[in-house]
Amino acid sequence: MIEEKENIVCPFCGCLCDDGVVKVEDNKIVGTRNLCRIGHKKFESAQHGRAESPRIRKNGELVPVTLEEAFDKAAEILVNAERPLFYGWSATCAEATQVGCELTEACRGIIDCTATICHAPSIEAIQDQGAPLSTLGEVMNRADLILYWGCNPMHAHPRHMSRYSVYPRGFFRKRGRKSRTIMVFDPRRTDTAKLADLHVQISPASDHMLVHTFREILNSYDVTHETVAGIPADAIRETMEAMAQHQWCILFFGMGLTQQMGKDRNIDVAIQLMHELNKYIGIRTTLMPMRGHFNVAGANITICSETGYPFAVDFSRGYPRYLPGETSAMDVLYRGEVDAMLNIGANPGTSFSNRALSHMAKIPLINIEPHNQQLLQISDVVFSPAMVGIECEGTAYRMDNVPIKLRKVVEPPENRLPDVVILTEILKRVKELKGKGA
Amino acid sequence: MDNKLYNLVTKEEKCYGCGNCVVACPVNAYNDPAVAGGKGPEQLDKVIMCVENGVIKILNMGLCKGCGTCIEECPDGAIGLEVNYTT
Ligand code: SF4
Ligand code: SF4
Repeated sequence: MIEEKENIVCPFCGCLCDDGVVKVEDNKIVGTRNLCRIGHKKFESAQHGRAESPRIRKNGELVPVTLEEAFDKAAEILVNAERPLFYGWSATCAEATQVGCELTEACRGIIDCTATICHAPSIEAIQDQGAPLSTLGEVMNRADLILYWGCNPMHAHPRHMSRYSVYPRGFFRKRGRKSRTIMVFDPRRTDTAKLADLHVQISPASDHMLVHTFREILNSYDVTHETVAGIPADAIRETMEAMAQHQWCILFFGMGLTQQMGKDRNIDVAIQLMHELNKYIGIRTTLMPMRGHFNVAGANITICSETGYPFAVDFSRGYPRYLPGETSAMDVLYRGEVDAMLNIGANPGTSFSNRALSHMAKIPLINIEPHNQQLLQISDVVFSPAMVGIECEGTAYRMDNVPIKLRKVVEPPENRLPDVVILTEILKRVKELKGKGA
Repeated sequence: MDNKLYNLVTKEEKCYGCGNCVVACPVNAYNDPAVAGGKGPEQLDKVIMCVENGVIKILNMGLCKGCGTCIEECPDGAIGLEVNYTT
């Protein structure tokens, strides 16, 4: 008989939609309702293509071993390493990240999460400038001006507009979409741009200039150029005037701003723009990074609450240090500084540069990943865990930093332990070995 | 109660399952408060469409009044409205 499990949280993107219905028959996921195409795919494919677990590389081949043997091997690799890297944490729960921080400290390693290659500039800018943040609930109830800058939620967070920001009727926005103005800033005519009231099609890599021009107008300076970022100065003035007609504005921004030339400086000026809109015109302004993985915000929050810093935290001196560009995952791999790596809840195989990957191939690599992914080819110890939010519970943080409890929908396959149990077992052995003076 | 005048046609292969059409639809929002607030429908017999298995699915065509809000909010043309003038 098909059982419909209600109010299931989708563990795919930073929206963490919590109204999913998952249909289960004999412990098999057979369908979903309310989840978008990618959320559905996550549940549908969860039980297929799973990596065998656990395995260790012997004579160049990954061979199945007992869990005990795999834990011992992983601990041995980490204890023998001088500067191990613990990377990932975005597709696992906050509880696992907590253990990860303890493990990093015990091994005097470096802990970094996938934010290092996506929203790290946002975090740095927020550290520089402070940030007027809000929850998605406030956006739904209050926002009448929604700016999407350098992001395309229709593809990356498909339910973002319908569930939280644009279409829902809110307390002060009773007519939903009709109560709000949507502006999209993107060089491409994206599917999100097609739904906007105004699409500002800026030239690529000129976001910084355009934000500054808005600030110039707000601060009563003349715009001396005829066009900025490919947009005529008059059109920029008109856009500013249109913005000023609103009461409550939110700026959602993505990789188009953070990984663009200027990086954290782009976010710096965007925060200042929001601040000045508030100060001079009196619009309530907030901003929110469009976090990608379902718990990448949680990875930053957990690492920050455990170590004092949000990512790229180095314990090599026995205490936490934070030097992005120096202690961030990509940089230490580039310089060949790390001599072992543990990857969990991430797929560097598709996101890291060749040079970083080639160093990863040279060092012992422990991989905690449910499915067969490219990285298995260079992994030395492989654990296929139970999937958080599908086969076990855990806590994840939505893109607005609200913690949400992920639920268990089906039983995990045999030998699949939750990430937090795997890490705890490795930590236990690392402490034993360190105690023996290994 | 079949409505012969209006017919919603869907192209599942184009649909993102974003739910824009489901939430924007005034009939859905009026009949199911969950939809009005952006959630997936809780009363499936009272809404015109929902997202099932990641794509749009028409549930109760008879409730459609042909306003065309859904088709305006789909960026991909995955939902369309046919008006049958001959009935
Ligand atoms: S928008 Fe994100 S969290 Fe929501 S159903 Fe789609 S993938 Fe899942
Ligand atoms: S038909 Fe269009 S608006 Fe409706 S869920 Fe599919 S993609 Fe979204």
